[in-house]
Amino acid sequence: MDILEINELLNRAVYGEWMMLVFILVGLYLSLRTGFAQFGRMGVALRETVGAIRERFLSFGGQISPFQAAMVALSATIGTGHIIGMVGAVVVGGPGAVVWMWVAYLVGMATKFAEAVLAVHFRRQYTDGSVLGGPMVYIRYGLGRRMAWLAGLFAFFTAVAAFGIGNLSQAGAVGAALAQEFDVPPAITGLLLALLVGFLLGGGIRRIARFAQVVVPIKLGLFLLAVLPLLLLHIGQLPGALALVFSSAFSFQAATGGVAGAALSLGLAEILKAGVGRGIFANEAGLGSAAIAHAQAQVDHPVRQGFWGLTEMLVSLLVTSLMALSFIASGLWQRFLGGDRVEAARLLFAEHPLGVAMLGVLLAVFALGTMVSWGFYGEEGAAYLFGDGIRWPYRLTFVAFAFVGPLGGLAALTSVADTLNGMMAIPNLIALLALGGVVGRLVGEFFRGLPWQPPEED
Amino acid sequence: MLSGNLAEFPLLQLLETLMGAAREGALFIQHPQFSGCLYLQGGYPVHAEAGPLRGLEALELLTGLRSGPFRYEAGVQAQEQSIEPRLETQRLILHQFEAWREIELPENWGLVLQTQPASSQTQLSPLELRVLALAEGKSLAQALMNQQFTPLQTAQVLDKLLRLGLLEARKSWEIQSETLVVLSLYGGGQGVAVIDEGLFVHWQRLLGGPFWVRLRSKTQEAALRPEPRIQMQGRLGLFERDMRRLRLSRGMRVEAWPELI
Repeated sequence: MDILEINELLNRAVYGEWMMLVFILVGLYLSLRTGFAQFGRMGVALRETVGAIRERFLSFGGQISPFQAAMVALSATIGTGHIIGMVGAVVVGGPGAVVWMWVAYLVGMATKFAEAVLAVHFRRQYTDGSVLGGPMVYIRYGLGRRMAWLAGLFAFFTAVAAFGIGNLSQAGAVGAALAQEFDVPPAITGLLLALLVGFLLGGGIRRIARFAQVVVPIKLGLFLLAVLPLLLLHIGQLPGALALVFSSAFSFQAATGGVAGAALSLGLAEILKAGVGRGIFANEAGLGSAAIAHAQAQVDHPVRQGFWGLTEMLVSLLVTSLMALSFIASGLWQRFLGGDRVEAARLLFAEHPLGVAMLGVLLAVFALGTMVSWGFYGEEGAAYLFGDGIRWPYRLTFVAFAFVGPLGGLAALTSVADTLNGMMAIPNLIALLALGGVVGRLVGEFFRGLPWQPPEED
Repeated sequence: MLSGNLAEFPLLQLLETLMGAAREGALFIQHPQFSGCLYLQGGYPVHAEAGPLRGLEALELLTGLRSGPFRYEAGVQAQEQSIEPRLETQRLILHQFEAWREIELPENWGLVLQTQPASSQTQLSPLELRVLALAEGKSLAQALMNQQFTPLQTAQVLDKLLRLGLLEARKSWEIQSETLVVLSLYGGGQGVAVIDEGLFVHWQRLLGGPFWVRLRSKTQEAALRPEPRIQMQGRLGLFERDMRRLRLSRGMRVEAWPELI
């Protein structure tokens, strides 16, 4: 068995049904520990985030504000997967997959909330104002010295995975989209991407945060500009599409040829897998990546940052849902069931008044934001392992890959990085399980008006 | 020209020298809290100024100074005469110096006087009560130059009030209000203003004791008990009950400053 076969095996495992079940179970456990904060405290979460949007640039004295940290996380989360990936979920699991995606999102909200809370609670703050945080830090300081190897493992997975999900995949998608829609040579796309990503990463978290606070609203604005005309175009089919989403959540006759019994249960498994898979991996809840961004926020209490985690999930849910509904309402899903998701997305956007070019622009902007945030995640992972001296070498390597990405030809590396991306969840979910009690305690203290007591230095 | 500091050349010795030599000129004293001058003619004081005071009252205040740069310029004549040039005045000056020697006021006349609650019942005379009221919130120098009572009279009363602990002389401070952004706190607490621990320590140092935080919004003003917390820079944490009572909402800006309890 060669390394690629091992990788393939691991990849199937980390993105497989069993792993999805673990994600859901951990999410349910954290929901219990936090008193189902994603439901019971949603009002407070919205007041603390959307309601306090005019305070978005006010930090609590540190490098970046809670809003900016959330934007860095959101910039990474809302990537091409929210468009192509969502179309893919419907193509594989049918309209009913959307229901299971929603369920996974609702459970995942508790996970993302817990990640943000722990990231702030256990982060290390240095005298120059810089911060190191994220799952590697809450594993190391939350679980103790004996689990330092697990923290190191997470940091290693992140540092390498960033080259896949956060670099080659994104750069490849941008390169392909711009070449296809605007005839831009991949080398030019690569050069531009490398320059932009290099400039932004070079400025550290402050520059990345300033970029994210601009690019995320642009992403959302562009997304609405892309999707609303499609929804308006099929507004008559929207009620039917919504009804279809619910009616085909458990069985999908067309997909299975209307055969009952074994075929029906097979259909349910397919629907579940497609929907839950999207609901888990689109928003990165459980992977621990967003926690690296949330750790940077200066805030008086970790739970307050947790609310940004919840809101981040809501925004991601809104984007994927609108995307799915526009695709289902268009009726194109029937033609592409089990087919090519990229082609399905292209055909969907062909109906857009601005044409398929809209898809190209959307993908390019989505991918750029994701690349910058993931570059930062990877850099933090590397810095945790090797110290601050690794930052510039890491940035330069990341930039080099951003240039190569659109040219293609690194499929093996992308595949390995994709596996490591999935593997990031393993140490993170272990830590979330072990530290669920800490999250519950912090939530309790916050709502009793008690001050935050950062953990003692280890 | 002769110059120096009263801490090294006490005023009494300086005057004895100038008066003994029957000098004519002006002695200028630059105290940190006010400026003063004393004009001599044939060795006799003929005019004195100390802040707003003139004549014998000014002279009385100057005789209480224990430090401060001075310079004597010979030949300078007074524009006005506020003191009679006679032997009696010299005796009066000696008496003033002796009286000041009995008084133990702080060296720093820039200290601010604050009334303190009495620990036991104390009987005060009408004069003492009036001086107490006059001195509240003023610097020692301002209190001594009150123009209602002579500086010596005032100094003697202040000395007593300070020794009784009814007055306290504290460093002069100017506390500027801070503009803070309201942050919601959850739970059942009330009457608390949560501020950054750095600001808390800063205000505590300035005031030298426990304090209230006074808030002023567009419509309301209130005093709340301060509670320091980490990572609250630029923020003011208020419990929901207080926010409703004060008609404040998250994100609103309020002026906040400390007030001694």
